[in-house]
Amino acid sequence: MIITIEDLTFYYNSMPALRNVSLKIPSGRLVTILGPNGSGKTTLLKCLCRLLKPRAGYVYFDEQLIWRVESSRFAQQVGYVPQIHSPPFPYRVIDVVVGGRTPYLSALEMPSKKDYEVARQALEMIGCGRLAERPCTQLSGGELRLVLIARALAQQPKVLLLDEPTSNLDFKNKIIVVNVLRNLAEGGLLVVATEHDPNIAAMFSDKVILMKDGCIVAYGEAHEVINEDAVKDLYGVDVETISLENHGDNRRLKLIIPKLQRP
Amino acid sequence: MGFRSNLASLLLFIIAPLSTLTLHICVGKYPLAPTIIPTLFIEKISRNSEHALEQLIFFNIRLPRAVMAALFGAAMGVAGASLQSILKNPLVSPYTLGISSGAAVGAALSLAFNLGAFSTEASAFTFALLAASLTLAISRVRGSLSSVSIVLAGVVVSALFQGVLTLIQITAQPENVSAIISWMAGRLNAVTWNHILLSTPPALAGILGMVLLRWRVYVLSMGDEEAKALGVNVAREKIIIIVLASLAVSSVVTAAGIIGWVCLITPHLTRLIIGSDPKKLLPASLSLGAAFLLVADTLAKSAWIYEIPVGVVATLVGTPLFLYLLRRSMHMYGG
Repeated sequence: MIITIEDLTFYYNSMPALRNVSLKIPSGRLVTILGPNGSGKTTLLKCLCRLLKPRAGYVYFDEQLIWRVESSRFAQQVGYVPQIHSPPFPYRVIDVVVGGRTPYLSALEMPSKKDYEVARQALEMIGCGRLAERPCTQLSGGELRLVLIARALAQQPKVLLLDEPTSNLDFKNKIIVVNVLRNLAEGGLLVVATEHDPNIAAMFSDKVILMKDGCIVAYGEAHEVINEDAVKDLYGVDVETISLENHGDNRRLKLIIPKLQRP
Repeated sequence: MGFRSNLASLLLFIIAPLSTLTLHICVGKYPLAPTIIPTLFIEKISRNSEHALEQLIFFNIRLPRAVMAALFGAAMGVAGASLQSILKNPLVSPYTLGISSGAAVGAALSLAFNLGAFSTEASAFTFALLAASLTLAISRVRGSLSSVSIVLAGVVVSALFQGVLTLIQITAQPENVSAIISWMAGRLNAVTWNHILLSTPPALAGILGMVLLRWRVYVLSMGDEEAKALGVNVAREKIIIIVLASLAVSSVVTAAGIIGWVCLITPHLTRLIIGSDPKKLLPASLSLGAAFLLVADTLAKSAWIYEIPVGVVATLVGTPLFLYLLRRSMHMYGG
């Protein structure tokens, strides 16, 4: 599935959050939206999954205008993972994940054995099968994030949209989540996620969208787009680059770190 | 999962309400043996008056009261569980929507002006639904229906109707005031078959509707944004469930008065017993709500030399039970 965005504009009351954003995102990739707080990353993401209705402009998934699609059919194609989920009641993990089957159920229908099977597979796919019977109120932040990704996968979508999937996670959980997303993208899913850390974006994504003040300032292959100047411009912070020659499987890796000013 | 939990569910869903129903029917000033009940049905059908007194007590006094108590508890249990879920708030009850204050004003208006027996019910029902509609209307901001705005609107509407109620009580004749107060305290003891015939169809429609929609109730409990992302039309389905809950609650409150705590405590009790299985929560709340009120009413009519209003018993039994459960389950809510 290819996402095409044309002249997308969004206002919060009278504050513009997106200004004439146009973009084409090809399928089967991990695409990261990078930008400072308030740059419109989340707004763009929410316009893509219909949680926000834009003031003007169009979003097409393949050739289809998204607002023309019936809501349950849309949810069969697009999975959304929120940044914050506060479990209201101590539901079991498997019950949360099987919630992802809702777009396939009519209003009075209950999920069937087959739906639970799909949910279990989604949990296995991201290596969380062991969590199935645990109450979701007793999970760690990282586990909860993975469970929500599993729920979105149970929707069997073609596009997965994630709002800051690595935020509020510890070092290890960040890497776990990003690796899961990497694998999903390798498997042919189009994954679009907002991100705060330029290095994580550079290391794990195929393509990066740089956003500032509601506009796209750069879009392209991750290693081309993210460089010292771009990050300096995006965040207004003095940075320097360190290069690692033999990182992992003999790849060259550039890390962008802030210049520390110590007296 | 498995045999043990299925057996437990069966016990809960069927045996708890049936056994408490039998208990409720048999206990009283004139105790009936449970074994006589089939005989009474057979005699009634064959017009045999061997146990004429027992027949009179059973069919005219015990059965309507027990049926009403069960219906009331069931409606409150299901409506309470549904509303707590869709509003993502474990402290919400159907009364939060202003239904009880609305019904009280309706009944008070009719009683204050001596409008006669059944217009009290009609008036209470109308005002209960009016209050719920007002809450829904106020809480709709720019087409969206957030849980916070619903709860706030309910508080405002309740306050408004409470004010009106006080005004009516101040201006009414003293004998009418005591009628109003006893109406509000809950009056299962005055329930007749007419009440049951009138309130059963709307109550059952509401209960059945909510139970059938229980998967949607569960999905809505994830919050508006997530439910929307799962393809649910959030505003429309929230309204449908609130309307069903209001219908069920208004019809039983109209017949039996305002009995508190059932609606608040039943969903929590249910979650503690069966866990938070979204498919079982509403059916189990139905059974447990009925059982809870049947037990409370059994106590109400037999614990003291004269009858205690069931609302008082429900509160006295419910409050400590609720506090105990809350303290025990605090960790589940992240407290």
